[in-house]
Amino acid sequence: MATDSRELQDLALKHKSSCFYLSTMNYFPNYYSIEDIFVTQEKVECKVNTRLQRMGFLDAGAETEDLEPGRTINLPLWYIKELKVNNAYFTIALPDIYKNVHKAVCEAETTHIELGRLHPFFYEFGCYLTPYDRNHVIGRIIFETLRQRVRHLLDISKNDADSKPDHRLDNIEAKLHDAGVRTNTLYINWLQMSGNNIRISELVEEHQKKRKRADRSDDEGGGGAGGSGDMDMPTGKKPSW
Amino acid sequence: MSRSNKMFGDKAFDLLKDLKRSAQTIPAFDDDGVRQVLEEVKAIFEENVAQASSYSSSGDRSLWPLLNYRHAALQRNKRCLLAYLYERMQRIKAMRWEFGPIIPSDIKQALCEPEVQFFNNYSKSLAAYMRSIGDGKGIDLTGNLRPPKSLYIEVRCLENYGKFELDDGEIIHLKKNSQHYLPRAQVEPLVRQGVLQHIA
Repeated sequence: MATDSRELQDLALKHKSSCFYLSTMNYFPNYYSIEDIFVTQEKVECKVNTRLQRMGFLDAGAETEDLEPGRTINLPLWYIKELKVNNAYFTIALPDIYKNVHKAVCEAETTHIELGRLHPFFYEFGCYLTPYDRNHVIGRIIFETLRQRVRHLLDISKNDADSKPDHRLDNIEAKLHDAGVRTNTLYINWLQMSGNNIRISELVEEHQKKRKRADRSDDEGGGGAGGSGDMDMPTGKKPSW
Repeated sequence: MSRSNKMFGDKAFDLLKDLKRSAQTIPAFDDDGVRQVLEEVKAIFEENVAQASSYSSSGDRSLWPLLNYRHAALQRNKRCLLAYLYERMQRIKAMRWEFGPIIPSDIKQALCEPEVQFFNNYSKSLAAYMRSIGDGKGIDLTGNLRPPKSLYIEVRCLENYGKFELDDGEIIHLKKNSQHYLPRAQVEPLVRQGVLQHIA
């Protein structure tokens, strides 16, 4: 019995550590949240309603110093957020991605959508856009989408721990998936009474790997080609930044 | 402001992009990037001050949206900079728990001077706290993260570490690929540092 309770304690401890990964996600992101800064960096399409003096620099195609009414420009969310929802200067146009998902939501077939490809911050971006949505559909769409997909998310995090369906998941889903995989391995370890060994610290392991990689590229001599190729990958995939 | 320039706040955002790309480790402190953002902030601020003073004398509201936009950009830059410093600070704190009081020199190079100071102070505070608890004997809070099951554990050595002295004075030579049966409490830090591997 004594060992049992200890095992339980152990599990609780591990569970806590996996919760830590989730705790960085929040309905109300804090001021320092890097994720939130990423979301608010996204551009939104806006129509200019009135002549705005000396703001022509926001419009790449403008010929005058002022911003003329009728032009369509992309403005970052961090600026839009500061304005009133029905301000006199801009009308916000909602991105098409939410309209496209709408049909799938109605047919309850959202599991096959590659959300991550559609938008890396599908849900968070949607949350910010709800005030500008006059038809009140975005809120329902993001809620329904996650409701339909979360079950599937649970399934895939139980099955394949290694193969991560990268571009199919949006940022929140990827984190839920990580947490799911992690919790699942901990649970299995606990059932098998294994995993009680002291393990190398994660940061140290990461650091050793990095050093080994650096050593290897030094050996190859001018391994810069391989390195820069790796760097290009993620930037090429990202949509607007 | 020239027409072709990048959007305000983009440079500050680049700092964070850099940070996010390296998920756990710390990239070198971007002195240059931070300085550029600060310059941008200063430039925006000066323009706004000039405009605000002309507004208060003339009462002309037509430039209001521009003022507003610049102010938002100012706030944005501030938020990005603070988030950059804050996130690095979190990672530095985590390193104290994972690497122990001494961090590898290549990581140390990535920190700027105030950050090194912060690490030293944090390390000192933590050590002082750990000494103060546990009925005057002190407890190492970074140890025994998993409940121990046995006093001794079997370990394999992953690198040539050299001599290691146990509490009872016995000296052990830790050579690569050698195996030892040692007191758990004393070798745990070495396992965490990747010198030893716990095998049973």
